[in-house]
Amino acid sequence: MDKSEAKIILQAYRANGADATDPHFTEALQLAGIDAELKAWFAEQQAFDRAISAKLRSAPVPADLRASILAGRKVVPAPIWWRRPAALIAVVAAMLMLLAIPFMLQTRNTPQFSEFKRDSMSFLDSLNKLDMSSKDHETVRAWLAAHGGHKQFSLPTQLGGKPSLGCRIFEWKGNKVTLICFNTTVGKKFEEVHLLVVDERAIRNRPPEGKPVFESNGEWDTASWRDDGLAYVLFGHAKNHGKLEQLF
Amino acid sequence: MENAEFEQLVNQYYEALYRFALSLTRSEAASCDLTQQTFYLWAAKGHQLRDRTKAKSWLFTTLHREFLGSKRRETRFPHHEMKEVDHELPTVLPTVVNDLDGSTVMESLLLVDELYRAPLMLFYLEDFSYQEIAEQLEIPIGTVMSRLNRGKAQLRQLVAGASQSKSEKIISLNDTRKEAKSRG
Repeated sequence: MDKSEAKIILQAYRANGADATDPHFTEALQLAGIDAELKAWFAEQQAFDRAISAKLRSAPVPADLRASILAGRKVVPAPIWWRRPAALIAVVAAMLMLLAIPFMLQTRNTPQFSEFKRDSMSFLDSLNKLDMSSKDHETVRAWLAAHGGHKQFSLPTQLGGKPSLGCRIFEWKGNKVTLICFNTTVGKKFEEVHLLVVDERAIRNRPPEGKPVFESNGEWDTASWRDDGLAYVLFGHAKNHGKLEQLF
Repeated sequence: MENAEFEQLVNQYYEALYRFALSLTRSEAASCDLTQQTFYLWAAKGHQLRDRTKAKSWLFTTLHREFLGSKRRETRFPHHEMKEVDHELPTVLPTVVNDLDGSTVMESLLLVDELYRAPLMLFYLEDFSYQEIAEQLEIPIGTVMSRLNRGKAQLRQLVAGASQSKSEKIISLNDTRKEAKSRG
């Protein structure tokens, strides 16, 4: 930096010292500290600026200006509350909260999928009758359609080829549940699986869509999945472990 | 907006805003209008400013924009490259400035080229750094430096001229006494 550049930069240095910590001036100030001619020039500049600044800051202002501004304010309409972004956001948030409350309450009261599985196992443990009996899937569907069951249920690929035993409709926590039993016997040993179907909206923490999750739960093995608005749990006896996977 | 906040802002900035407006318009009446208009805009739109600490910047920027809008310029201010002022500047001692009254110094400032008046006024109000002046006027920092440099040079010449005029108008007491005695 030469003296000419330093002078241009130092012209922007306020005489009240407000720019003392601005690094933009550091080099020019350092140069002014070691160059006698620049130092004298800068001192004279600062004195001139101080004097001008003091004069301009004391230049008279019309006596009635302040009163005019304040009086004028009284005829300026206050901003309409709903045009204020903060107010608008607050109102929208409150409305969303109000709309969300029933949903939140409903969600809080919605049982977990794990509860559904647990209660279903208890139900199966004590299962001793079906509402109807048929080995034909279409007959079962027709009966379910006539009695308010889940007639649109879909079946895993291999299970679709197994004959049904029958079905039953029951209520669980205010929700309709459809039970369809299948004969999965291979060879001489009788085997069965039980498919429970419920609307997915009736439960929280639902199983994944499409792909089944296999688990072992004591005496039962389970496969759980969702498809087209319905949640499914397929129960097989644990003593036939590994058979559920073969039904998909 | 609360009236108390509005009044506080008026108390803090109306004088500086007026002086800035005067440096732009060179008219007391127009400056009053511009200052009032700026505060009315604040009353109507200031609530949109989330960071209330930027109210001062908002006011000065708005006033400047209003001024430019009122002028309906067709051509923009050209940007000047930083360049040394090569002509000889008159030496103006601070004591000379101190002998002048505020109105005279303001009148000198108002004779500075329009291009330089706004940055000069903001600089001498001492409320804004060169960077803030650049933001207020929406021009590059280098342009602020250049305009301050050239503007100060003009102001020096004008203040020197005002001082000279004033000294020429001063009637020496001794001369008056001599004249009175001679009339005697």
